[in-house]
Amino acid sequence: MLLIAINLSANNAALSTEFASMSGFVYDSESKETLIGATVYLVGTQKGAYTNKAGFYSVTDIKPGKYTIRITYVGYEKLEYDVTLKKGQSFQKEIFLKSAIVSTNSITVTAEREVEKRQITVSKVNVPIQQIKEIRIGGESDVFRTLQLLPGILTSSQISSGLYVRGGSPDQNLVLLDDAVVYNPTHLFGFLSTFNSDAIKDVEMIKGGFPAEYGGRMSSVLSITQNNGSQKEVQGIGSLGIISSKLSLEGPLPGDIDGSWFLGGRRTYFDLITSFMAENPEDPFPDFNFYDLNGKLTLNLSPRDKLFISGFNSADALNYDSYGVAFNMDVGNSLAALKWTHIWADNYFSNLIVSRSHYFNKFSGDQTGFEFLINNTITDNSIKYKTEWLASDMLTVKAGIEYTNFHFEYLQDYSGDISGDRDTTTANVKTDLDLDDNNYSMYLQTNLQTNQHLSLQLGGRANYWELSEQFTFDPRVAAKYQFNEGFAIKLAWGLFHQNLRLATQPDFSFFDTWMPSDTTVPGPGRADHYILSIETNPMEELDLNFDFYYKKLHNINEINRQSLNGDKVSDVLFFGKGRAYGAEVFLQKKFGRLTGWVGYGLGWIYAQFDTINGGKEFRPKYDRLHDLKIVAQYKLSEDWDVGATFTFQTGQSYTGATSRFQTKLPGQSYGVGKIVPSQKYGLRLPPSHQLNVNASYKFALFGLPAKLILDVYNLYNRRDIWFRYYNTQEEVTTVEDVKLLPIIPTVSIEVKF
Amino acid sequence: MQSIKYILITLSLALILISCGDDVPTDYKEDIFVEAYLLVGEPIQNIVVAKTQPVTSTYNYENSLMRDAQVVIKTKDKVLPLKIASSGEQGFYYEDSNYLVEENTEYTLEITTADGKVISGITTTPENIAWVERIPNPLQYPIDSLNPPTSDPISWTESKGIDYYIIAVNCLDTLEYGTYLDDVPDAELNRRIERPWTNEEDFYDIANFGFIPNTETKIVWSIFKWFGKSETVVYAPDNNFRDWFIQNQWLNNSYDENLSSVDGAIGVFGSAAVIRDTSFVLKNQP
Repeated sequence: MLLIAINLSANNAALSTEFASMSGFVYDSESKETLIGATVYLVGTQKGAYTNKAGFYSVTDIKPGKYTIRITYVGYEKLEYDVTLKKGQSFQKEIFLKSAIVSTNSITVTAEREVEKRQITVSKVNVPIQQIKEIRIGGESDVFRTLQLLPGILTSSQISSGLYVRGGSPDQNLVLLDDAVVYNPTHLFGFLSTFNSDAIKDVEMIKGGFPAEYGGRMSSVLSITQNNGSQKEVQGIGSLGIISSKLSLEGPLPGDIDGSWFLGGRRTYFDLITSFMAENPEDPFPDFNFYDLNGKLTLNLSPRDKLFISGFNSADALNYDSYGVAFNMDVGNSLAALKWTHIWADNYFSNLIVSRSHYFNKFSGDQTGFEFLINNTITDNSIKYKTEWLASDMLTVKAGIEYTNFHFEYLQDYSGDISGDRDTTTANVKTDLDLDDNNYSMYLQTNLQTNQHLSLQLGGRANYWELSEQFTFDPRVAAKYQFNEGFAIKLAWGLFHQNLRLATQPDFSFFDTWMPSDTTVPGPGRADHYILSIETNPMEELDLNFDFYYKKLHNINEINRQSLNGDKVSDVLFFGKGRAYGAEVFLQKKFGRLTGWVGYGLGWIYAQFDTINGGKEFRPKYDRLHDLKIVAQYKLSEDWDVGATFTFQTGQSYTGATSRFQTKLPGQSYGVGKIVPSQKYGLRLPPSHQLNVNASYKFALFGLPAKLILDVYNLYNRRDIWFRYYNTQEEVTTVEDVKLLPIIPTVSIEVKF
Repeated sequence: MQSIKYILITLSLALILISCGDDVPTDYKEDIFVEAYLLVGEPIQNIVVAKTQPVTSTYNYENSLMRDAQVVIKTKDKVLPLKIASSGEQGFYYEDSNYLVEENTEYTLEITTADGKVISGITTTPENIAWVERIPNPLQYPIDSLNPPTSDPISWTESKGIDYYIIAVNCLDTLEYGTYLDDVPDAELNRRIERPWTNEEDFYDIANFGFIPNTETKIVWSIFKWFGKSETVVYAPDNNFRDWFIQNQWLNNSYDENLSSVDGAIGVFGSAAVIRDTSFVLKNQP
């Protein structure tokens, strides 16, 4: 009913206006790819808009008259044109921007800051995809790795791509690919994300205080949009790297069909290389490979209708067989999403999204005839209807309804015979669960500009979870006070409920098990966010932002590693609470030959579980007090680009020992040495720091544009400590450090065709 | 830009100074460790009461034993005072070796240390189990496809209320096996059964363990460490024993308080029904 009311109001408002309006899409002039976040600005006025995720913009309540329209976008040439708007006119304009080699236009920066006063996006960061492609770790550009270079986003180690955002764990991040949820987007058991940077055109990260249109997670939102594909001609890009190789193809749809397609793939070839190497049959190399595939089909059904069909598939496989010990580990994601964008009026449009997302991990083995099997899956079937009404220059209303069916499967069989033929397995010990849960959500969000200085964002999100019979309501409030063009203060507060839970290990994401909250848990997880953000522009082309946050966490969970079997969520998880607070400074330069940022985060994270650390509060392993990150890319010439990333962080936490003992089971002659731990994670390893550099050179290869990329990971060979442990295998206890990766230079080549 | 540069340099130096790591601590905090298992049908023996030792010194098991503690085990109608030898690595025992632990019986452990500290625990012994299919004797490894074992899998009766069973293989002969074969070097290394990812420390102990939710299992060859004479033991453990088994075998080497089952100390007071059998693991010579 609410959506219908908004629909009617929107159409009436559009018809009855005394003003003019303008709307349309902004495209790349070469590929005809829509551009997300481009600025459309009426020069000399306070009016303007950003393009949304569909590339659509809408400016309303324009007084009739002559205007110069200026359109800007990072990495593109500024475009201006004159237009005369008449009373009641609905002016529609498709805009095409040319890619710029180097954008140094300072006006671009000014224009960006003046538009969309209704929008309040606290703690939001857009990292340009070109920058993500240039930042390489071990020869691979990676979305998650790049996001880890933002202040306030921590990781459990340098070899983990998990995002710990302002004290939240990776499962508390809502990861969206073309508006569909992805559940475990990592390769190499957590080293890389599954998102191929060649297949992505936009990455938006909201580190906290996100609006009511997003729900189901406690910490942050990462929204990734895949390439639509070129509408002009068939083209491609291929690259050969040390870890993997990639190939992407895109082009217009055949015949008279108005639209485009994109297909991208990536595969590692460790298994192919080892197949050519001589190996000892009694000590073989494990077989390992991963791949991912991205595809997207865009259909322009009419000037007011676009249909997007997205697909994504990724898989990792590790196999080993020797001395009668064989095992297979498989993990994968698959996703299919259909999105229909319909523009009802210049100021009102909607998105209907139907998606299916599936994640699985499977571990099976055979120890000389004794078989075991672990198989976990989560399947998410969702339908969402979202509307946005740009009611006036002063008011935007967003509303939506969502339904998701979750299907969970857990199978853990250590009986020795996974065929299940035997009847001697004792009762209740083989975990074999099939669970379904349904979630119903709706949200309403209004953005209101009360005057030239003050904007408010008020929203609420209601959720009902069938399995736990829980109803939750998330109020979200944000305000912005714009003192002048270069100085604004923002405030945000909200409650963020999360029903899904993840049983995982911080350093190894293979056995990730998603599960719902059932009636045995204390309630859904909840985070209370309090954020103060100060946005300034101290110099031309520079943004300097300060964020202060306090986050209270309720009903968070840790895996119960002693749990052998269970049929309730509370059997396998411990529940506790936490809090995180801190401050971040972010200085960013998006334009010119030199781009990049300096980010510094100062943060404290605390957790308390009755069953961990004797019930005393502790700071988790990923807690880092200081977190400094510097990212710089410099365009030396038309052909040469160089870049560097530097991180400096307080050392990781570890647990010390107060004494040791030797435990012997009956029959054990030597036993097992155990340490008695001191305060959990009460000690710090030495600081962690690393410098990575890269350079790329453009040249022609057989007449095709190509790029040679040189990348040095860990330039000064700083071997940070992955973890420290007490070795109690001998009678003399030793403290040993397991070090992280040394310097790794890599070369890769990229060819466009 | 110049000022920003100075700010960054100052900030970096400040961070380096304030972010130093902590030294590995050397402080010692003494705890009392108890390891007590009652095996149904066997005498009460090796009830260990010990002090933990500093991580900075060489661990000495014998010296860790608290021989001056008063240890008793009680049933509903019996009080069994325990003794300990003045030296050696064996813990407290009940002098009357004719007394055998009974099934389905609640036992209470009470320890009073010399300084008056009281430690206690309770266990209820599981119901007895018995072999259904014994382990073949001899066993041949690798399996001789022309002469497979006669009994595969091995199996035993269920103990009421017990979900998981522990299987232990204790090597009874790590040194002598080579004498049974022709043209085999007598080095101990030659008598080891190789498996992936083994290292020297894996052969420190003569015992190896498996853990299954089942009353039968195929013979898992990788549980055997040495060729030669072996004892195969199946335990039907109570929850205390089962949890401490997880502590001992599965988790990393950091003590987990949630798996402890004694009050006033760290450790276990558990029990199990048990069956034993011996067999000879024969090396399948080329």
